[in-house]
Amino acid sequence: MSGPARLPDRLRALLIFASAAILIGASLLVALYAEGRYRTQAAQAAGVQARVLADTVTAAVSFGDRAALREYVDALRDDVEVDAVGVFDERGELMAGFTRSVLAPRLKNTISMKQHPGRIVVLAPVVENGVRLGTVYLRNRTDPPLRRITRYVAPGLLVLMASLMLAVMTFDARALRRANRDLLAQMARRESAEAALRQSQKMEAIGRLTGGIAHDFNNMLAIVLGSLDLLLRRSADGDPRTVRLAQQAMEGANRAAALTQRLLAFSRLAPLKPAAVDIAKAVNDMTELLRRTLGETIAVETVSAGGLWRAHIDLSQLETAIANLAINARDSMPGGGKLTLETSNTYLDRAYADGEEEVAPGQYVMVAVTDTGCGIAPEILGQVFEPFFTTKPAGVGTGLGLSQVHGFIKQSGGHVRIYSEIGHGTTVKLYLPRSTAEAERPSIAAARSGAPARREVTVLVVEDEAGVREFAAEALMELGYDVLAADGPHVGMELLGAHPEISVLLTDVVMPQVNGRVLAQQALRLRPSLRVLFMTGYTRNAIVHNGVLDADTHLVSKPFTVAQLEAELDAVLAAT
Amino acid sequence: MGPRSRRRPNTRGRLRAPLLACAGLFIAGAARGQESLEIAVKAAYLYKFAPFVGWPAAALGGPADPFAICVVGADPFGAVLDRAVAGQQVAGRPIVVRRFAQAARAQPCQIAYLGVARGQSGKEALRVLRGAPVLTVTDASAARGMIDLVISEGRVRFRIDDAAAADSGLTISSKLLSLALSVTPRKAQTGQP
Repeated sequence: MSGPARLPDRLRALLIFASAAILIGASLLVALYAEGRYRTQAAQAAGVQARVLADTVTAAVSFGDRAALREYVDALRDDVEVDAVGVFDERGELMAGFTRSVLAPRLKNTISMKQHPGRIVVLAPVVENGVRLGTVYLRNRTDPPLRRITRYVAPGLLVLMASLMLAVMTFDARALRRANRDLLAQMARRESAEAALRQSQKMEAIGRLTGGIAHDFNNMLAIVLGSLDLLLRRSADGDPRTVRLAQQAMEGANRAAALTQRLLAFSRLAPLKPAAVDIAKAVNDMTELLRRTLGETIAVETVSAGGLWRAHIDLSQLETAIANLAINARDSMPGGGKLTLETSNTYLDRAYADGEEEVAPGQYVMVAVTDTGCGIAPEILGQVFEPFFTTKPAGVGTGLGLSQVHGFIKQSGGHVRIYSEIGHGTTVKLYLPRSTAEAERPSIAAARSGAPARREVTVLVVEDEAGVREFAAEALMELGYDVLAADGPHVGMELLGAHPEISVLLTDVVMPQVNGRVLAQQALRLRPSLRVLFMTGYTRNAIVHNGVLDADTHLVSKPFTVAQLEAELDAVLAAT
Repeated sequence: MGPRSRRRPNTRGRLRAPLLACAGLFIAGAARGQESLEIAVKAAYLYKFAPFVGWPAAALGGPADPFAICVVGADPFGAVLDRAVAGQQVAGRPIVVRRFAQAARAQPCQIAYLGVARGQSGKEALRVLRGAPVLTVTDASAARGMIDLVISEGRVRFRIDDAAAADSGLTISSKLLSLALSVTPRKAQTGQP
């Protein structure tokens, strides 16, 4: 980037100042030399002038021709540099002369030339053929010091300007280089930001693709699972071999459903379903899982405080977050170590909250995950929550682990702190907001077998997928509901108008013309007493605000079993 | 010329030299004062011409020979001339004053002042000296020598016959010529050494 012969800045500055000093010194020397030359030349000129005059006036001096002498002398009046002239005869008597100042020409001494400040005095003998006839006195003015100085002002200014320009150019070059350095750094930062953006866009694209596939796959699984469920219910007392086969098929389908849930989680299309979660229980459940997955070299320890509050969070996301932290802890302890999961109640006061971003003071349930690993360097501690930031080798980590933790905690209205000491370990503290609703969600009722009781409730099913629609209708009838089915919102509205006995609407969310939420709004306008239950495997739009379901929205996730549908419908009907 | 008219007259300086020159004659009275001053100036002129005139080397004689100013015929100067030249030198030679009754060719003179001579007119004297390397000086005479002294505007001035000087192999400095009232120019440059 820079030339190989680039000098350090300090040396460059020194060189510049040295050359400026040399420049000024040289010009001073030149000025002194010119000044000396000027004085010599002025003296020489005065001497020549005096000798010429002395040579000219010989006869006039000799014969005392004052008229002629005056003419010779007056000729010098035109020369402004001549201050005084005197022609003396051999006895030293003044014969002719003039003076411009008060100082009259005088033969004071015998020195032929004398320099005074501002004037030069020259005495020249008047000689003809070796006969001394008299003396010529000439006094010339030299330029006063001020005028001589002004003579050097212009070149002096030029030298000064040159020095200044030199200095300005140097500082300019330095500023330019600094700006260039900044620009290069900026470009590097932008490049890495663009790379991160590209990565995130890629992930987003993969997520959309995955989400779309998972949605379609979910619908198919819903049919398979539903049908198998119905089959099992109806043939509960049938051929045991048939039942076992159906149960095996059911198991496989369930595993497939779990896979699609993971895909949806990865694509971040799964909405948060916050609830009052028993944190101690969740952490204990996770501990068993972690013990098995982290391996024998890492000891997992749990420290739980008594009387722990419940937290208002999404349990599955909390589990993912703890898993992510555990994976990071494991990777930082390749030689083994101890992982401690600690829970306690905490109060974050206003003083603390004011010092942090987006933290509200209040009560929190704290979950601390501590390892005895290599720790995180302080200079990168601020970056670890950034998406795609990873210290792991390429291909090992996604850089999304702590990012997920941070995103989930912030989305839940919580707070996260990370403490680390090189060589000793890292502690990540999750502050989860305390739940105000202490009551646990009603537990899902155990699946009942056998013929259901008649319920006297009519459910309208709106679903564009024929398989899902049919399964839902079958399941509802199985559960003792009266069912009306529509393959689209328009038909659904028509049926709603024609059948006043409809009291529950079970609708898909994503449909070609009108989405489920709009349909529900229209239906509620027509019949305010109507209860609505959404079914979806894909909750990206319509009923999800900021990734959280509206408070009074009831949802059953596809694929669902008859028992799950029954539980959700019970909840809808029970709500006031 | 304006500047000249503004100059202060230096009466003392102008008069001092002649006064000194004729100090001995001062008692002669007011009537003769003007005349004696004139004589003194003329006496001074005689030796003052010397630096502005070039003689052929042979005309000056040997290195030990003095520089001779000759007064031919009547001598108007007397002791004044002797005092004036006393201590003066021309080309490193002391000046002597020689007096002759009549001009003659062989006389050892560099400058000859031709006064009124008995038995020899000025013209004759000039003829005798024609071609000789002698600067002839006449005093307001009908027969003019190379330099003829005249009184003009109350001052002693001179006229120069450069042609005659050239004929005698003498050169007269242009500086002297420039002070002359009139100059008879030499005809050609052939006579110049």
